[in-house]
Amino acid sequence: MKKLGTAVAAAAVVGAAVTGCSSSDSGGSGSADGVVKAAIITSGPVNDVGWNQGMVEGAEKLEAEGLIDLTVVQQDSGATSEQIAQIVTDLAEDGNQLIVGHSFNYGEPIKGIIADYPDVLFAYPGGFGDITANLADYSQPFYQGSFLTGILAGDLTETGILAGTAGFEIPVCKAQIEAFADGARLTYKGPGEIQLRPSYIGGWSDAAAQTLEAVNALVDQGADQFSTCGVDAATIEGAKQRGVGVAGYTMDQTPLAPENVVSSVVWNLDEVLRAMIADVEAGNVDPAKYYEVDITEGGLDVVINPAFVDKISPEAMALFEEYREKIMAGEFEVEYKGGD
Amino acid sequence: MNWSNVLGAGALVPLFTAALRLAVPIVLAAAGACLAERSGLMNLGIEGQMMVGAIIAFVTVYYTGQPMLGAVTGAAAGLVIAAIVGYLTITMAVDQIITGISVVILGTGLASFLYLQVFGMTGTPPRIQGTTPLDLPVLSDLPVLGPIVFSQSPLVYLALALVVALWWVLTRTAFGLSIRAAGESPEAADSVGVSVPRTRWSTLLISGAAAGMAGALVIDSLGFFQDGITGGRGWIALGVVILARWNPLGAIAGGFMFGLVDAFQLRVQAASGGQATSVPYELFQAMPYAVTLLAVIATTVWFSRSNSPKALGIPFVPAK
Repeated sequence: MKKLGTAVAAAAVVGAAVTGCSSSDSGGSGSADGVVKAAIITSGPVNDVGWNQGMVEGAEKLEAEGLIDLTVVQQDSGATSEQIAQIVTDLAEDGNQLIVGHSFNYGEPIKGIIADYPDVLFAYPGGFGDITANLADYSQPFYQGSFLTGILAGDLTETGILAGTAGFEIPVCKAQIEAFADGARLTYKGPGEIQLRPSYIGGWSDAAAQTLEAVNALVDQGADQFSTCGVDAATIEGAKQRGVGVAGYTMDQTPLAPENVVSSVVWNLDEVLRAMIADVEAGNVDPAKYYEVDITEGGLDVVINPAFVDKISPEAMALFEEYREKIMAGEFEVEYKGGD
Repeated sequence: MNWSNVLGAGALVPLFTAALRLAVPIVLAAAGACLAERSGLMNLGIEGQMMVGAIIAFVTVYYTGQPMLGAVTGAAAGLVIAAIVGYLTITMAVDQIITGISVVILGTGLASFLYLQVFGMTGTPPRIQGTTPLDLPVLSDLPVLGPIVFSQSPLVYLALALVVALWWVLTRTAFGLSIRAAGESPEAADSVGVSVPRTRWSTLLISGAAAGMAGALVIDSLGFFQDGITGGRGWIALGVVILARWNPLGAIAGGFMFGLVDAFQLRVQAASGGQATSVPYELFQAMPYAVTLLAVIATTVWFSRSNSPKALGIPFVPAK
């Protein structure tokens, strides 16, 4: 990842922190040495141990393999469409062949630019197959991994009340939270049945205090195992403060709360980017694709916090392993309950 | 839905405790803004001052382990950012609205930049241990009142004490009279020897410090920092100022009402089982804002008029 120090102070003034911005070989159409010039625009800090860091680490892995020449531009959730459009234009002018705007909100501003750069592959995580010419979409099949984290949660819950926190009731989050409860139903022994309490906060990282209070409210009402979608930092902090279990989101989030993060759904974004890079190299950028790199293709995995291995019953652990193998082999399909 | 989960005797204590936690940063920032506005100055940059206060407090607590010291450095950082507003609006007589919005953008970006520069990319993100809630003998064990009133973080009491102090300064001191004069009729104040620029500078710096400390309060309860952590509370505080009729004590009532409705909606949503309910969750989310708006309308009608300071937002250039 290259850095352009002078850009940092100026960018901070306009409300954006630029962590690195390749400028050494500006202009032209990509690198001459066969390495794809790729750029990532985050929607939050690159050190969030979650959504953004997962993307940056995935891209850095490919850079270490010598596949890409990487530029990372950090933006926050307050970036305007105009700012995103300007950044994407600058990156395209700078000769990047793959430009990934890693936020649902970046889709619309990017759509206004793609026609000017027909040879560049653009991508954003729409999650519903939203393809426009050379703008690709990539899916977030977290529900597949969430089902597995639910198997563990069902074994650990004492009340049978499961909670899910999410910024908004978007299909990706809804499907993840529903699958969490479905997994738990396999291992929960009672009393009663699994009850699911989703809570939609109405904001993402800008609603941390509300998320924390939502966790408090849910714990007060008996919830003791959580799934979280996009509001992970505050949910995990809440779980830590209240001593309940939580499933990590997009990265192994065990370090955030070693005594509370039971397991984590890990999103292997290097695999998603690898597929995009292959298409860039082959010149297949228009029409772009819907990159659905799911758990069967290595796009996802679930890791268990070693501290919980002894706390989970052998039966539940066996069931977890059994379903994990079946799902990865494509022999079992987790039901998608995210709506249309 | 089981309403006892939200309004039952056992649920009211956590409801009010949550309301107080959500309200206090807003109350403190609003009380500071009351003083600035009473002197005729709109400090629209509160959100930016809160963000910088939050990150400076976070870094302080991370390296020293002292939450109270974090509150002090957070307040100092808010004050420094407010000084930028002061230089532009008071010294240079630049438009207060444009300046305020610019400072919000500056503060938000600066906080994000500082966080990344200080902590960089790590496997273990930085976390702090905030203040420990008080455990007073007898008082904290009182039923109902104990957990709500006597078991909060010491910072909460400090913030509320500061709000009362600001009210006292505004209504019971000669300096308070100068503040009110500068906001109602700066020319008249000037003619009797009150320095309007100096008065406005003082209230602005107080407002910035209050906002910075409000930012420190936010990270104290959360234990972490991230972009947009103050979540628009600075803007809500500006609304609470109107609701409070420009009175710091009113800010306690206004801020607590917002916090209570917010805590209430989160609990109703949780108790009703999210999407299983027939009421869309967006309606719950809109509740705090809708109720605040209704309260502003109701108080304005009740008092028959808006009693905003007459010179609010108008730059004052002293006669040579």
